[in-house]
Amino acid sequence: MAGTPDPLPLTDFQMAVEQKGEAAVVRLTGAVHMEVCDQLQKELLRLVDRPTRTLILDMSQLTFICSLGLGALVAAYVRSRRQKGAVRVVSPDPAIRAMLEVTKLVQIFPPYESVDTALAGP
Amino acid sequence: MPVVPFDQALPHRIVIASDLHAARQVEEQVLRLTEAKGYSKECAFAIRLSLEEALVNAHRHGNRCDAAKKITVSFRIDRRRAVIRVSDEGSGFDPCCVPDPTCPERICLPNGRGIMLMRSYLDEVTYSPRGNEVQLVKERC
Repeated sequence: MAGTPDPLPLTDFQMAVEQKGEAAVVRLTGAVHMEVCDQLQKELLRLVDRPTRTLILDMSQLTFICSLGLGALVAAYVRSRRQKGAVRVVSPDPAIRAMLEVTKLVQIFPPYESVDTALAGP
Repeated sequence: MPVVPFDQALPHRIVIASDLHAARQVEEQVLRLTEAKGYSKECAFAIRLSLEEALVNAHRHGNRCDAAKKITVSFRIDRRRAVIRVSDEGSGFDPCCVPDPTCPERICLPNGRGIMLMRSYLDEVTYSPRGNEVQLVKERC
């Protein structure tokens, strides 16, 4: 797992949303830890419930995610799919990519190399 | 047979309220010890992930998010391995009955991945007979 981010300090989580046409680009920064997963899920579902066809999750600055955080992504994916939308993940670091592979979530979240390629999708 | 028997005492023991903020503080304390003992970032990532899963399970499933209940974390982090135990006040569960979250019919469920992740990232994950205490072992790397 070359490139694994340093797990210390336990960085705070931040998310910033930018609307790009019918897509929302969500930049996730820091660590999705146990205290912020509910907040993350609420925000992602709120975005999916808006007339947003595609949700792009930029993970390039994400250092950690727990299973509840992965669950928040899955919940957004399921709701989005019901509404004929899509959720795409971009540039997870090797440690988080490995988690997607271990959990087989890579099947529903094949990582995109950049926000632009994710916007162009599928 | 676990590498460290459950009845063997561990040098550090912290009892916290069943609360996620308190749980994170314990997590940080454990990670600082792994850093001090020279564990690699990959190893520390695995320990952080697994400890987080164990603490969340204790809080949510064991103690049912009841802040009046306690979570006990015992640990020994030495130059050979990290041994961490997390226990709750719940009635326990049978870890053999937890379904595989990677099978096609469960892949789109939002939860159920914690135990599988712990098993994937650690050298050993063992439950007490009652099922309300888990022992996590990670060899130093």
